[in-house]
Amino acid sequence: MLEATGQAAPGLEACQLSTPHRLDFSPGPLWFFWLRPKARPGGFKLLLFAHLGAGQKTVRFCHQIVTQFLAIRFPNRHQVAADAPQTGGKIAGNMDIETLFLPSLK
Amino acid sequence: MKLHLALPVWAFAFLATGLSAQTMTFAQFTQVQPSKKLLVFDNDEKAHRSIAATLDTASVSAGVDVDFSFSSNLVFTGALAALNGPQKADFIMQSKTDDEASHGSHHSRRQPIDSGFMEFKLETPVDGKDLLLKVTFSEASLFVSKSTGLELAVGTPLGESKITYSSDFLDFNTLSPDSWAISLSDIDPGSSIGADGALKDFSASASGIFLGAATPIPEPASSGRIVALISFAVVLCWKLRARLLPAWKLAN
Repeated sequence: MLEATGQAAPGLEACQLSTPHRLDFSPGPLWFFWLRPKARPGGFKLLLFAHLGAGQKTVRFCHQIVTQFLAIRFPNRHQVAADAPQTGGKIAGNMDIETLFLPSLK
Repeated sequence: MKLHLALPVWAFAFLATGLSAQTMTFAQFTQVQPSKKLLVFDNDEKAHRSIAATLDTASVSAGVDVDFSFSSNLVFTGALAALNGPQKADFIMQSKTDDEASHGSHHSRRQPIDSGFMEFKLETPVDGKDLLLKVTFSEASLFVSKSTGLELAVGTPLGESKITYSSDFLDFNTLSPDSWAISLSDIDPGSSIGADGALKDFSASASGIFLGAATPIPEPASSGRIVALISFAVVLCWKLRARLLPAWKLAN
């Protein structure tokens, strides 16, 4: 899964708005993409769109997967925290994470 | 192997090749100019009338400029080899809704999008063709929170098609559970719900992906070879009919 995501991911440094990426979990897929806010040069935001029915544990697991992906994709950012909060916070010095819960996925 | 047994095997192998595509992210697009707003949500917001809102590209006649690329897993050869790698393309989207938006957690809102289409055309045709991808869809969902969002549509694996792909350059397995997603940023002004219950007007930057089971169409030279092969098989069968017919009669 990480490898597949890594193949699809564009260079974080090169993009202002990445394409979305999909990770398949039960009971529903997790979507995420990156942003590089203009107001914070060098800063990045990771947005997760998680299925509401996924439950807290699954969301936390999704965070772990994505933070592992960050560590692999950007090894010099190995300080990416394993304790990413459930819905938001910093995962590295200049990276924020934000989770939006999708009310439903048909 | 007897010829009358071998021919169905060839035919099966030929067909199976076309059906063996796996579901994957087969195409994506990104903005050429990161600061440009590609998409516009336009809500009539007329009091005492039903909702009539659209989510379109900033231009629905000429389209907007995007970098479009097929997955590197799709390898084009011969006359279509120019399709490997990013392509300059014109992107047109038109979609509409008459549904209310709903509030979600964490300041998020969901705006149903009833139906629409997306079209990506090459600025410079390849082999005389230009339709990279056309997507028709129904029942998409647009999720927004402040200045960011995600629009997505997810098909079902049971053949209830909410997404239909077509292309001059790809064949699609229609039984595949298709889906697509567009990331939105710089939503301006920040997302909010109007008096009619749908989202208020905004514009946004966008990039997107398309998932499905796609395979490159056979290049013209390959098509010629296939036609020649089938012609050869037909002629061979005709020549050997004297031997095949008695065997078929015996079998029945």
